[in-house]
Amino acid sequence: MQIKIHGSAAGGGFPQWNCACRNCREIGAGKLNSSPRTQCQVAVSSSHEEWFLRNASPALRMQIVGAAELDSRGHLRDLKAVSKRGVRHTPIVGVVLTGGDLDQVLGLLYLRELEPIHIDATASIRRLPREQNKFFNMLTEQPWQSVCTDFVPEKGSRS
Amino acid sequence: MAKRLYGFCAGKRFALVVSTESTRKLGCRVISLGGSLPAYVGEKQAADVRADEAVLVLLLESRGDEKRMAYLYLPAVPAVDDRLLSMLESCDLVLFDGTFWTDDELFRVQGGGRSALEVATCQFPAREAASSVWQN
Repeated sequence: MQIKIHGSAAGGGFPQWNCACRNCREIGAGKLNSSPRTQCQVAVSSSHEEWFLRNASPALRMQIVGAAELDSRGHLRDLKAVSKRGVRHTPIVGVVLTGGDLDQVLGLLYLRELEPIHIDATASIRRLPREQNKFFNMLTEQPWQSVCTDFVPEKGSRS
Repeated sequence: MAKRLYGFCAGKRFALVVSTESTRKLGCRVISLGGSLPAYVGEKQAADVRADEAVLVLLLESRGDEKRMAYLYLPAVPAVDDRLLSMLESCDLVLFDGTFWTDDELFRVQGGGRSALEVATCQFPAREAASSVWQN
């Protein structure tokens, strides 16, 4: 199992655009021994050829093109590979949603380029973005574009 | 599109595999932690969706390897209790997303917004209990 963290910040990123706290000031001034972070994004794989995203952050496009294992160009390095797989290809095969917050679903809109993708979620989480925002209809522009599978979670002690 | 090989079973472990090229499989458990719906959900829609599906924990296990490896992803944690602590102890890797140091942090910093618990994130003292699991 391979796990890669592509982003680890909260919803505003780090530094946050409207924040002047000590950390945000010092990272901007190069005084903090850290690095800027995009919103939380994790990918997992069992094969290195296929990756599942845990949620879809608002910074997803930047995170994909910054990671060779997620970027098509990392998998289509030469014409032979392009000939085999076609110009359009992604190693991202699915997204598992653990919630419906904006920081967890906005990145789905970056996956709308008529690229087939699995979206796994509970029925409630799957419904929320589409019913609240018609932009998400772009994920089902073609009937084959998105395959949504609803799962039923195990009960936790507080649920 | 790659074909999913393993279907979902309600409330049980399932495999994240979509193509025959994968020889190793990722077992996946999805566990509800309760919590609250996203802030953009209005009262009318909130009555029509299940709040217990709002905050989920993912437990991934590598399968087909000699040694079991388990990874727990907690994107939000409304509270730390015995069951969660037990899950933490069974995992090799835990990603625990915690944003707040105090429940009223957003109020104090930006003058409004929801409390930490309202966005389903327990504040730091509760996270200390969880962190003690792997410190020990």
